[in-house]
Formats: sequence, structure tokens, C-alpha cells
Amino acid sequence: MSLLLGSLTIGFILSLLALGVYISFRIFDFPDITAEGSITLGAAFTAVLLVKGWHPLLATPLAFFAGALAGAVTAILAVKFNINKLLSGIMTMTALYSVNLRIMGRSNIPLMNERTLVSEVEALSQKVFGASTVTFLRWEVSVRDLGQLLLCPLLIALVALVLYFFFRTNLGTAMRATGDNAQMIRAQGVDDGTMIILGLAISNGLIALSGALLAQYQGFADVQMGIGMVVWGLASVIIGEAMVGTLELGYTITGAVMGSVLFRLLVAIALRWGVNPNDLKLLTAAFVFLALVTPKLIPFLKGWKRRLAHA
Amino acid sequence: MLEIKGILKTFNRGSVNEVRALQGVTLNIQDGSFTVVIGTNGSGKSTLLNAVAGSFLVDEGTLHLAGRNITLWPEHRRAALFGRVFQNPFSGTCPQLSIAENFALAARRGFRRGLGWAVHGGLRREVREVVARLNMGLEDRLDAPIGTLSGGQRQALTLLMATWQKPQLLLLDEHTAALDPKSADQVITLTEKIITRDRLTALMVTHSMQQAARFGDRLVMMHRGQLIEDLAGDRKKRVRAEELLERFEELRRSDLLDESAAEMLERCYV
Repeated sequence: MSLLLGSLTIGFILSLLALGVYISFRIFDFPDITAEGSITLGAAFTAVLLVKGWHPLLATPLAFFAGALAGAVTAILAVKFNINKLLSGIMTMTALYSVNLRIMGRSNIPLMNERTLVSEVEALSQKVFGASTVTFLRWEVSVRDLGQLLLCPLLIALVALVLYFFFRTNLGTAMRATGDNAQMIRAQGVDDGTMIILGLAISNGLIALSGALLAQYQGFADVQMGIGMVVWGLASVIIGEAMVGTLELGYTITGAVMGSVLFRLLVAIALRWGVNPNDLKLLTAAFVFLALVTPKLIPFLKGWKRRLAHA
Repeated sequence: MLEIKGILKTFNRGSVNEVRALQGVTLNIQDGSFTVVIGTNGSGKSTLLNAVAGSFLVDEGTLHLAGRNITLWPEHRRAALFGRVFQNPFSGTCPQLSIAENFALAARRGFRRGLGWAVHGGLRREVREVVARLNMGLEDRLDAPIGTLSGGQRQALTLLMATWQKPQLLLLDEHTAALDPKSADQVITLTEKIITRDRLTALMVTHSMQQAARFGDRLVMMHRGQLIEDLAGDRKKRVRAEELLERFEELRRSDLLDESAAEMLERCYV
């Protein structure tokens, strides 16, 4: 039960990563690898502030701005210096590794004994439920896990809603148009470069926020925690698209969140089945490969079948 | 209005693919005029339009619009003054966005884009009204992605969008060349209607001698990156498509002569 609750919570936390990846990969058609560095940046930044005794409600949102800065750097490399998009992301990601080590001062910061959002939620839920465990559908559940699971979706829903409304404004619509048809948006008097810089800033801000929450949830920030995150985020986005399609903005945003949660559930099930945790990244990459190739494979197989029938 | 003074543009300078696309073009467009640009393939007529629109910066020469020097302005900054319709009917609209959202983008051309609602009720009503006048039945599909429409429909909408915020200059780049004859006819008729109604200043590049003869109050012909003909007033009114075709044939022959002559000289002396 605790595994289920945990994977749901992580799914919600990482849905911010999925939203960030959705913005860069899908809205801007920009394969942004910065995510692997900016998720750690968010975690490192918030962890250091928490250790210094900052209030978690202040330290967590600040991670957004750190991530936004990283995203803007990648976009500026690509837009202003005309560097290949992938390479721009790789450069920022590599640089962030050192930056993150500098921020943290070492490779790992434990947060178990600090005042974090997790400890705040724990205190709050104990006050609300009046005990440290409750029985839920005959399962004994710690109120800490329950409180997290209840509050996390609220936070995510708030962020998703803000994003949805933002992308419906004049500025947000111009950003969506930039990824769709840059020539058109320039002809409408919009500097597409600025849109990309702003867009990647938002994308990586969300990803850093995801990192800040993840660090508090798992109780530590680690310089290695970003490895493989882009593919994980992409897997979530793809699952979401398979569930709700890509037509309407509201659907795709909801889809990214749902995809992230479902993906974590799948991971939990796989681990329960006895999959070696070390193989997870390989399996995820294989999954993304299949998801990218299958749509192209289906018409090919159909044609193959027809040829067989004619033979 | 628009003063084009001695502009030069060479692509791929110094390579084997060097193209001297514009070789000193000077052209003054009067306020309220409708100028048609024709020319042989590769004559630089589209390049001239793109130079004005700012798709690239010219190597030499200057561009002034209404007294302002726009020679070094980037494309998006000039777009505040221009309405633009492209040859490719898919270039002027965003396929994934709805008709209404595309118009919302056009409605803010030349203005700051803030956090105001893009598709608000007032805009929707206006768009419905304008789109209904096309008689294409699009007014009931305002929320459909524009990518689901045909090229002709998209080009008609691009034209409406380009003229939504009255542009100081309307740039039309062979905007009917990629359409089927019926759509092409619809779009060019709509073009003339809008230009006349809003008294727009327009610069239209076309491949069609019929269009060149029929529309506009001034006709310029380009060849090898230069203006070689400039007909205005009565001379423009009298010109017929056949005459223009003859002039083209003449140019083609003189080109052939140039090449064969060069070849002959080469054979004799090299």
C-alpha cells in the first residue's frame, strides 16, 4: 500500500517534469536536454536554502527561478548564437553539473532532519487526523503519506490550471504559434527568439520545481538525480498523448499529468514483479523507442499484409 | 511611402552557388498605389519582396517606409507595419491553432502581447462576421484547427489576417501560385476587393500575366535582379497579357543569345 501511495505521489511530483518536457518538446519542438541539469538544480537550490533554515514555502518556489535561468541560457545559446538545439542543451546540462556541485558544496545533501514541505505536511495531517496512522479501506496508512498524496495533486492541479490559462493568453498563444509556424509568427510581429527563450525558461522552471519537491519527498538532494529524467518525462508525455490525444490544449496538459502518474504506477508494478531497478532506464528508453516507432510501423505492417494477400 | 534605394543582395557570396539576386533596385511606391511586380524565373521578384519584408538584410542600399529608415530592422519589427501573404498557403497560418486563435494572433500585430485573453468574446464575434463574408462556411468552424482546411481556404484567411490590422503596406508574394484555378480566382478577387475597400498600399509579386494586366495601377518588370520596365497610369491600363508574354519571350531569346554567343566565343578563342 505504501508503495502504491508513494508511486502515486512521485507520479504527481514528476508530472511537473512531464509538463516541462511537454512545453519544450511538443509546444516548441525543441529537444531540450537541459532538464537533466535543471531538475537537479532545483533540488540543490532548495536543499541548500532549507539547510540554511529558510521556510519551505519560500525555498520551494524559488527553485522555479533557478531553473528558468538555466532554460533561458540554453535558449539563448540556440537562438542568439545559432548553436544546434541539442548541443545547446547538452552544454548547459554539462555546465549545470559543476554549478550544482558548487551550490551544494558536496554531492549529496540529506534533508531528513530539516524543516521541509514533507515535515510541514506531516505535522498538518497529524493535526487534521489526530493520529499518525488511519485505516483506509482496511489498510493501515500513515497520515504522512496520505497528506502528501492529498496535497500534491492540489498543487499540480493549480500549476496545470495556471499553465492552461497562460497558454490561452495573447502571449501564450504567440508561444504556441512559435513552435507551430515560426515564419507565421514573425509575420505577425513577434520575435520568435524571445518566445523560445521565455518558453524554455518556463519549461525548465517547472522542471526545477519538480526537482525541489522530489528532493524534499525522498529526503535528499543528489547531484546524480537528474540522469535519465528527459526520457522519463518524455515517456510520461507519450503515455498522456496515447490516452487523451493531442488536439486540445486542456487535454494535452491533463494528459501529461496523467501520463506521469500512470508511468510511475507502471514502474512500481515492474519493480514489484522483480525487475532489477538498475534496468529501469534501459526499459524506459526501450519503451520510448517503441512508442515513437509503433505509429510508423502500423501502416508499414498493413502494407506488408496487403502484399502478402496479393501474393 | 516605401522608398527602395539601390538595394543589392548576393546569396552564397564567393561560392560556386553565388546568386546575385538583387543588383541595385530602386523603386518608390506611392501611398495608396497597387504595384504589381512580374519577372522571369529567378529574376529576383520574390527576393525584392523578401528584402522589403526583412527576411534578410540587404548588402547595400536603403529602405525607408513613411520616412523611417527600416533597412536594419529585423523581420518581426517590420511586420508591425506590413501585412504579408506568402506563396505557400501553409506559411501564413498556424495549423495546430484554431481559426479564432490565428485571428487573435493577427489582431495583436504591432501591439504588445500581454496576459490578456487571446480569444475573447468581442474578437470571436468580429472574426465570425469577417469569415462569414467569405461564403466558405468557415464561420461555424472557428474552433477547428486551421490545419484541417484546404490551401485555398487557408490563403483566404491569411489574407484576411494580414489586412485585419490595416497594414501600411500589403506584401503579396505570388499568393495564388500554389492554388487550384478556382481558389486562385477567389483569392485574387478577394485581394482586389480588400485593397480597394481599405484603400491599402500594396506590392504584389505574380507569375500570372493575366493578373499583371488586370490588377494594379502600376506594373514593374524585373530581369536578372534589376528593374527593366515600369508602367504606370494609362500605359499600365492599356497593357495586355499578350504583350507582356511577348516581352518575356524577347528576354528569353536575348538570354539564349547571350549564352550561345558566349559558348561560340569560348569555342573560338579558348
